[in-house]
Amino acid sequence: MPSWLKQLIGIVLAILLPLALTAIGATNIADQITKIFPLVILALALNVVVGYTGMLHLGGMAFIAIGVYVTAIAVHPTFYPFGWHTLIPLVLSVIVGIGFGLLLGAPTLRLRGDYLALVTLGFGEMVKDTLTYMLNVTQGSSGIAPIIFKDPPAAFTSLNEWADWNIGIYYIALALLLGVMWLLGNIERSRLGRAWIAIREDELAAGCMGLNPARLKLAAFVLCAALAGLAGWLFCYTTASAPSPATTFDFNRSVMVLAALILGGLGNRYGVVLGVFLVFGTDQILIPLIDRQLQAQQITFFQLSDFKFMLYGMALILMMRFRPEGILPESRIAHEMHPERA
Amino acid sequence: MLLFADISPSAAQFLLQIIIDGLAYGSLIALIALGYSMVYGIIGLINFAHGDVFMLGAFLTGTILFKLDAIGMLPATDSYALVGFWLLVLLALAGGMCAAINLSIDRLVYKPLRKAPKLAPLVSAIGMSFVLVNVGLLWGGTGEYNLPEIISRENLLPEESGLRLNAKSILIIALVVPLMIALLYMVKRTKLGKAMRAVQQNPTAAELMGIPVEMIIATTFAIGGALAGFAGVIDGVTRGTNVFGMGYQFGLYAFTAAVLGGIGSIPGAVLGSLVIGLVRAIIESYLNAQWSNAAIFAILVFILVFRPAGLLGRNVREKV
Repeated sequence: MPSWLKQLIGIVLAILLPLALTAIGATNIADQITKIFPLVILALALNVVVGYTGMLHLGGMAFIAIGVYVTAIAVHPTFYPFGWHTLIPLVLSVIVGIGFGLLLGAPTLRLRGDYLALVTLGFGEMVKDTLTYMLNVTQGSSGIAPIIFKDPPAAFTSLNEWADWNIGIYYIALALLLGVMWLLGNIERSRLGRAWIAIREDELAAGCMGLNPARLKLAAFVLCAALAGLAGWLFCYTTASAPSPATTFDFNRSVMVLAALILGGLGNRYGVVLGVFLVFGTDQILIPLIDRQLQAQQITFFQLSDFKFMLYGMALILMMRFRPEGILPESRIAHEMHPERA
Repeated sequence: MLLFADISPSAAQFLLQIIIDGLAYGSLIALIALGYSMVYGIIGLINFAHGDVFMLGAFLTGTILFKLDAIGMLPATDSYALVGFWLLVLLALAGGMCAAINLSIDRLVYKPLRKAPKLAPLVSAIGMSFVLVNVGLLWGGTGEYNLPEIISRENLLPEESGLRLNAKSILIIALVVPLMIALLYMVKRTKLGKAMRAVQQNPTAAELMGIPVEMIIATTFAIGGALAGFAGVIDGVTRGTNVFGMGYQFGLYAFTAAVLGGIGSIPGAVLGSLVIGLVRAIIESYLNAQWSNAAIFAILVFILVFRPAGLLGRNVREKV
């Protein structure tokens, strides 16, 4: 089967999915799926830094949080003076993301791998705390909710109308995801993408061949920040809120996105998408579903959600032991992990 | 001297108070930071699960103290001999348990990945951290809980000095300083320490010289675990508040301290921890405790920009 046909089938299935779920009356599942899309885009953004360029980035949630709060502040009609059109923060959150990416990346990208990882982790903590405690700018730990977007297609007069629009949000999210996938697919094959992979494979050799690792790394970092800002806009749009920073944009979430990325297949866009839907689908849809079933069966002594971190932890450990390249691996990484199969 | 000429007595008190608080907190962090630093030095792995091993040590302390309280054997804060005895028991039990946990984690999870690319053991460490956090959740529930107090929080200094110094701060420093000296002695003077430094410098060459590399790695994990267990006990009897997420918070500070001082270096880990303790004490008294995280990481970024290998770390030139 040629790859364009596979892509076409995938897109058609993605378009039909919410209709099918609505038809069987599982609209809440469709809503939950919509809410995973921003995390998919974040994972694709992290993939640029971690998968292509081979740096460890532990502050993914910080960049999405920046996008979320930029959007919330720009559009919220009563808390803030702006009340702008929904599409303005779409651009704005990307620009602000780029700004923070440069601010963090320019001084620190010279650092060796693990030191850089720590700096990104620290940045994540700083952003989280700043959003939580700068009460005169954000609303603190209560978050900003609900946010009624004025458009599209027209102003909603009630929350019910807003709920009906959910399926539309799914398609907006899907379109955005496809756009990002297309963009990254092209960048991957471009001069820039090939240079990133060269750096990942051997930074010294790549430098000797005339590439500039510092500038290329910064480019990867900034692209990641820009896409994460975009994901932040989508996050704010799909959840109609800017949730509490301390519980939503914390280190555990950053690590879970990273784990999803590695589980799906580092460096492979399709693997990344699959990984995020698997991990967060389990977390937000499957486990609550099973727990509800258990409760319905009058089983109260066992709740799967009590054991979910153990489940994820074991999944990560076993995956690293037996298939470290992920479910849908990138060919070079698969080769590196299993040199004997070549 | 001009700088101090017009310093008021209250400012001097303030400074002294910050030093007391900062040293006490920094020493506690140092115990955890050493575990990170030693493991990183020897196998180049950020052991994300280390903070959670500390958390289990604190949880064990909590459980034992509650049991003692339930059977009416909890020592009163003024019966020093009894408190000392139970403190030793706690240190032995928690140290032993955490050493065993850390050792088994290495044998079961990290050892099979010794030759794998760097990301594989790192991700396994994150996975292990999730597993231990879940153990903590099942052990202690989702909320914070306070431990029974066996050490007095009463101020030992006279009221007019304007300073706070209680038995808890003294206990932390009195336990940590000898431990540090013992550890430094072991690493610098004994055969085992020499072997550890050899493995750190070049595992292959060390193996060829007849050093049992796997044994050394196992010992390192056991020592690191024991130190984390001691830290758990000390935190349990001094601060006395347990929650399943505490491993993450302390682990983050400890790891930051290890990197700040130059990861792999034992004096560096201690220095980094003291810096973090002092910064935290300063922020808490001048600004607000909630900003200490942000300040610590801002300083971390700032120091790494100018000294990429940390305060006491050596810049290793990359060889082709």
